[in-house]
Amino acid sequence: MRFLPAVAVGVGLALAVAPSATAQSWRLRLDAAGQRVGFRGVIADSIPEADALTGLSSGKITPDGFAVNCFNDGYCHYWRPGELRRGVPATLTSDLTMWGFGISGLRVRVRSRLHTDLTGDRLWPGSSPTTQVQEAYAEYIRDGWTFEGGRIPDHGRLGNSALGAIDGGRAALRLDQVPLDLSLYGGWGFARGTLLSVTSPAVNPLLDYAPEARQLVAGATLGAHLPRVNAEVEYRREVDPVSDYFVSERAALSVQFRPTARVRLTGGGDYDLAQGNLGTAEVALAYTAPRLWATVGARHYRPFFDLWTVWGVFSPTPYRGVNGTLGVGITSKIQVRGSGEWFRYDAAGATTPTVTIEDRGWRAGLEATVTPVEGWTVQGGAHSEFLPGASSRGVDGRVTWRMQESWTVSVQGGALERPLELRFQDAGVTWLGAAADYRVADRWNVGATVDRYWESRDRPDAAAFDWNQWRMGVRASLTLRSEPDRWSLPPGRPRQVTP
Amino acid sequence: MRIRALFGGFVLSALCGVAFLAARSPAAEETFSHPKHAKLFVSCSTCHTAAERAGATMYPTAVQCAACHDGTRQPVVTWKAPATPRASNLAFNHVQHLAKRGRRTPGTCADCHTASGGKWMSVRGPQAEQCLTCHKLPAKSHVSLPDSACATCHVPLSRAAGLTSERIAAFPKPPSHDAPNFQAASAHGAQAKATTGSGHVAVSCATCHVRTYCVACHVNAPEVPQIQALGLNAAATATPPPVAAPADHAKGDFETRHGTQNASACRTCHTQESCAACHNAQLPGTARALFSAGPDRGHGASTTGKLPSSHTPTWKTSHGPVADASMRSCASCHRRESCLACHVPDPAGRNGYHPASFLTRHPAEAYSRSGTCSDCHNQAQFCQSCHQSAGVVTQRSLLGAGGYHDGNRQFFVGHGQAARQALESCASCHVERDCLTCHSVVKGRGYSPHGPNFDSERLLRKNPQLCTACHGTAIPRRQ
Repeated sequence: MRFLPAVAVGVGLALAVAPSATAQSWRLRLDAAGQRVGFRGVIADSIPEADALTGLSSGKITPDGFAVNCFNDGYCHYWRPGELRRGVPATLTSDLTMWGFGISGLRVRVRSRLHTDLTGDRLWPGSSPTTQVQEAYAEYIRDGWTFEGGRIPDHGRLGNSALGAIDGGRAALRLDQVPLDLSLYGGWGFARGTLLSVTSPAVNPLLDYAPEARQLVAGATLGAHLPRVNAEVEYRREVDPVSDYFVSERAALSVQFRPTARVRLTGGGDYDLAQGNLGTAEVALAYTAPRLWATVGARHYRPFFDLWTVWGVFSPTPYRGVNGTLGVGITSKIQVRGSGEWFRYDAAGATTPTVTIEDRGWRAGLEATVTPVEGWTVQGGAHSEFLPGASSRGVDGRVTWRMQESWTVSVQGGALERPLELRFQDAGVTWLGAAADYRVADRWNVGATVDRYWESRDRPDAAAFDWNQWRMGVRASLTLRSEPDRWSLPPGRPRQVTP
Repeated sequence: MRIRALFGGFVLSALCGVAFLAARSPAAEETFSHPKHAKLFVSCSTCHTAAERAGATMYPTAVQCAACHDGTRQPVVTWKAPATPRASNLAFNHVQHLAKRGRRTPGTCADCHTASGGKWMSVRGPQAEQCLTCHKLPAKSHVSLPDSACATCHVPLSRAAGLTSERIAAFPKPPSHDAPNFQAASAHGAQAKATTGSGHVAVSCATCHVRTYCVACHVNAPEVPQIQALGLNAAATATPPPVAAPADHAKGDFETRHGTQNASACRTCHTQESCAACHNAQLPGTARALFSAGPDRGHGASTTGKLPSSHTPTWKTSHGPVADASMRSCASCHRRESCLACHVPDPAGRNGYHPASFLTRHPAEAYSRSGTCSDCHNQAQFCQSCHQSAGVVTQRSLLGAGGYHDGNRQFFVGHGQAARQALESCASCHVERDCLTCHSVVKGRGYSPHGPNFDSERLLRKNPQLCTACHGTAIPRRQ
């Protein structure tokens, strides 16, 4: 199945150039982007315990002032600042949709991306592998049936969000007589959050427990779509084809209920049938009026791990929280929004008297948008998070000026503090940046950004360092298409009078 | 002298030109004055024979005029009978009218063509009121007559001969058309179907309208037999006035309700294209049941796309559950690529899902999972690779021993709670072998990692390989 994406791409290209397909319609969007980034980490180091000195605070330090940890193994360990490394990651994304092959209802989609780092270092996350076929499938719709084959989207609550895909097929039936949708799918899956196989060393570097083959995925969804209610039930299982054991087995429910035009109740959750526990679930009640929108909700979060890893048996502890948002359009030009969440972890069953870990946290934010005159937008906000493990608080703002539909220029800046509960350091960053976008022509855009970051890692020893850097980026987006396209709807044809 | 000659030539030329144009003017051919000839004729049928005898001509010939206008007794005239029938939408038959009137009272042409008490041959065109009087139609204005009355005098507009666009546009408007709800199907639609059966249209409509007038609004015109029955007339170029949207379109729940109602109610005014103003990615089922714009169909009501009311400024961070419950609703407006623009991380793009400062801010977000990071990021491929570049991934030393968690010197022995609360964060730096150094029975020190409510039997059923990884073949069983 590793050749399936290549086959799909080949089929797509063949259809694109085939002489018999000259009447087909297509849309191709190309996005190119690149940015120059700086990166500075730390390097683990050690000195013989005999060389360690006693610092002013009576702690052990290296002769050049780095605080060390000594564990009676003859060495003291510490971290020293790493060198400043720079990368220039660049991507080219193509999104091609073709239809009109002489078969009504047939459509082919191919979305792929090329990754590179112009420095050759590939230190920026997500810069590898070099090529990534994100989607490549043919879709055929007829009489309420939809068939998809290839590298198809893997959406839904149990899928890998919008990113996900499986190499396989899907058949979906939309019933007109009753408001139901039924979908069945199957194929070969990927690791979570990526389009790499679970057999890839990038997903499990040591390959300790990596399966020998990609997991088989099979699932079904049943959706009901009534005037005021949308509901979808999903079931999905993933099986290791070599051992025949489960990689995962889950079910999920998603519901949206609109009792009135301004009130919406949404909720959903997934249940891990393999581990026998509730995964992530949430419920939210939203009220939406022209100048007032508010939500209140509750959330339950538990991370999910496939059974080919051992992480799940460490019994990750879920948290439960309540949250809310409130937005008010004070005038047509001033808008204020606030949000907050409070949550608490369930008992972990692993507390110790030597280490105190916070088990609850909150986050809140307040922001405002002002449009003083046509074309100008001023945004500003503050946020604060007090959380187990790490906290942060900061302010940011942006001024945007849109000129004549073609130019958009913005200036932004902010400041942030980030205390880490489990580390002997705080970090702070202040940044200032500017961005410009220019619409060269219809469906042809370019843009550039430049930012200056002043970042400091604060600690009272030599391990404190600055990580100041310039970050610059450019991007271009071009959309090509044939006619007709719904982007530019054909006008209603004038009446043809035949006396 | 030369100037005078030029001036005289100019004047002469002008006079000749005027004379020539006057001679060529059709008006000259029609400037027959009936009153001037009042003493000459005693009967209309002398010239207008067809008024009394079917098949005859309605106008005299030039030869008849020349009997007097021979250049001696009277000047020569160049009168010619009109080559085409008189422009009219009347269904009037002179012979029949004269015959019918003749059965009761002596009928004459003057009954209709001369005002009451008028002199002989003071001819005028027929007046509608005069028709109403004779036909005993009880109305002050002839356009307010009942439907069946129109055909008494008029042919359908599609069969009217010679009418100009201006004349058609000047047709009087019946009072019924001013009713507030006249555009509703229950009003003008019912009227169109009122008097005749399927496949026909009310005569009152056909008298003034042709098909093109209705097609301007009616997308479903080809499917409506009443509209098809109207016929065509190239001169009828009038278009209906702008039609206001039905009142229910302004109601608050219309946004959520409009896709659920029967498409037959929508297809009168809306094409698929008018739905695509909003649903521009994939047409919903209801929209697909509508007609597409095409020949002989109106382009339908104009619609403008707008954001649904649910798409508030905070929608970007809260749309997930709604999308899970009704993805097909999202797909009707959003292309797949618009989702992927945010949901697929782009290492070269800055203005994505996360704010500009997110690199510094992300530990706080990641530790407590304000979002579900693993939806878009793989912990090993994305998080670990970056942390490795930062030097914080270590496979040499374990927790605490010079480790990253130096905020508490005892973290190594008390890390359990932190690990269970943020296991995904652990996995973004550590590989499984790090933990199994202590937590494995066969490879480590046998410290159990299992927390409360750990269902070992269930996992054993689902995937015993997971158990043997740490326990070997001696998997403890619940008693």
